[in-house]
Amino acid sequence: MTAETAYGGYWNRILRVNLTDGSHRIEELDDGFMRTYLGGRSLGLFFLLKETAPNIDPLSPENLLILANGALTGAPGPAIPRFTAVAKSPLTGGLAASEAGGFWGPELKFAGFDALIVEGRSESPVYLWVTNDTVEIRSADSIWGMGAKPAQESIREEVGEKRARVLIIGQAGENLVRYANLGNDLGHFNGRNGLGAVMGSKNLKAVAVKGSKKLPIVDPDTLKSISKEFAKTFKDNPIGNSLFEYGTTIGVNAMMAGGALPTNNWDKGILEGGENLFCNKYNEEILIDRKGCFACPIRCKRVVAVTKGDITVDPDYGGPEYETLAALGSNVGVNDLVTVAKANELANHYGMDSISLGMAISFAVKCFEEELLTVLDTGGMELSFGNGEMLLKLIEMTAHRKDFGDVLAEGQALMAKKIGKGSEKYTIVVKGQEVPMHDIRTKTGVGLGYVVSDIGADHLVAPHDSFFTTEDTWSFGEARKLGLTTAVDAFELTEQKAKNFVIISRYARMLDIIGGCFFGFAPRGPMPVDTMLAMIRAITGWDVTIDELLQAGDRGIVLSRIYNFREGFSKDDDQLPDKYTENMVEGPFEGTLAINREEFYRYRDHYYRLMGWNTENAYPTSQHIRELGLEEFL
Amino acid sequence: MVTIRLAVGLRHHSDGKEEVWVEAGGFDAVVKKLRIAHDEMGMVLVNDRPVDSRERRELILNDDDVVDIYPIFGGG
Repeated sequence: MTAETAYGGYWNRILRVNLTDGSHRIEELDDGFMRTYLGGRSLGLFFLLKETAPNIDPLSPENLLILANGALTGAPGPAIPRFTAVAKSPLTGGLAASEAGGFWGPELKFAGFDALIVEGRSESPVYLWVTNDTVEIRSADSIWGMGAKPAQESIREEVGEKRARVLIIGQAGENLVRYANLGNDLGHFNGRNGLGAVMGSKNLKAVAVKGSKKLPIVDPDTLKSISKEFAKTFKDNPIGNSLFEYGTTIGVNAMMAGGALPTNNWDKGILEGGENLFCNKYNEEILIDRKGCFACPIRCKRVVAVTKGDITVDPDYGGPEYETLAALGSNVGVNDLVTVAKANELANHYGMDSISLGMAISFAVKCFEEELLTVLDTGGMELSFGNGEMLLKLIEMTAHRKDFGDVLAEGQALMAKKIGKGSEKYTIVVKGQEVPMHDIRTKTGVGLGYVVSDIGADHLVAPHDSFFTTEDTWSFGEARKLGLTTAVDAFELTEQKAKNFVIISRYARMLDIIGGCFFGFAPRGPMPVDTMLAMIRAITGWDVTIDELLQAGDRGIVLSRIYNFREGFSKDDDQLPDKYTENMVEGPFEGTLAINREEFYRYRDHYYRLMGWNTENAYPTSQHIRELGLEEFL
Repeated sequence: MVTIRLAVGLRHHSDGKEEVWVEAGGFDAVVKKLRIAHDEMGMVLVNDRPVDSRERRELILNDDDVVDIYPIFGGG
């Protein structure tokens, strides 16, 4: 095979750059690699496991930063624009892996690469300029210290390519904020786990890409027909229509109605004046446009513009989605939509994960309320819930690690160690990562996801329980094709729920690694399972079945567990946060829904069993590792 | 009559209206008449009491009942 050999949808080729010595090289993947691993997080884990020693410092040159496309990424089909950033996490000490959509992943494909591996550390700030089959390392001296937008503009001007796609860190990544993120096109993020800090630790400001190679597709006519039909019909499906109309912002309305909108560091479930953050208000007052990702017609991303009093919000940074509306809104007690839109813009400009950022701030306010922190700790600032001015100031301080911002930049778990005095009881984390904005008492399958997730608490481990509560729905009909047989109510936790979760979590992982979007495909998205299969076959030429794809998802989950246990994680890290063992405090479920920890762990253990893991230590059995063809990682 | 209050995201079933009134009867029949699929529904409250997905199947709505229906939301 030559370096120019192409497969349907991918090149079998990776670009490797060493920032310590300034070298680069192109490597070919073994035949069959992509069909086995599918790309994304699994591709990254393969190299992370092989090429990094256990227990390295995540912010040292020994860590790798791997930017890996899925096998489908870049093909002109709906909802397949995604790539994964992979490294060891400075937030959790385990796997860092976070997917992003947009246009950057496809552009890397058009330059002739499935993935980019960055090694070492540059002596001075640099950025990478990747074009067809090659890369240059360029000085970033003049843009170090800039936020995402001015830095991106400067790079595009310097390379003379207005349409270069730029993956970038802001000041937060440079300053090693433990939850700094990577952004592309200012509105798409590898948000979680502190991957921006890893990039910053390498003195790497950005990776700009422009390619013009034609990605081969095995059956372009079929792909074209699938894309055309999807664009025409996705809004006929209520799930697709809602994603277009409201994106994820409808979550604020739905969660608050259930008394399950995280408010004031999760002390409450209903935000006073929370109606101001509702999706209808959002659409009326600040929404000016919708944006999408490469080749996807759904356009679930928001664009907002605000000029009100002292506050202006730049539309180029997109608009807040549900997680941000809650994390930087209700969870810090702020009910002013304009302030939350500004907080979102600042988080994107400085490059920080809005979930962990909001949770770090809410935790600090809670500690202040409980007198575990005082003005002596905060540099004279009085902290309180509902204070928008304080919120915006703390975001700036965190990005620069200025004064008390240096504490906030550590995230809840390390903040609690620093603050001491029993403050740990106000943290809500799993494996050191702050929980997202979904109350697992109202959807217990998401709770299993939080607890067993490889990257710390995460809400995208599997489609949520609400889609599998009745059997005569379109979503459940689609889920049957994956192997689900029996619906379970959202609040229930049963062996059947654990069984369903095994299947849908393998499916979700498969979508992640192949380049698919959580919102694109049934049961959570509007594309039926059979159409998805036809699309994969049309792009790759693989005569693939659902069983093979689910096994690839399983392989990815097992690889993660092998990595995390190598880094010192154990069953004890699959812990349910105490918060969810308490009853709901407001709304229609007030006084109910507390999760019994022992019972929860029984079903967690059942999940291990069904996954082919040992229930004693929550580690895959040797037999299962062999069945997945992962003997070399035994 | 039964009052059905539809949350934002479901009002395309009611010409944009927040409330509609329907004859008393089985919950399934009522939502079918409004052309609301079970896929679309998240939380349902009847007289402020949550009604889970299984209970809905057997539920009979009586005159003066007030039903709140919220759209499904699942992550992201």
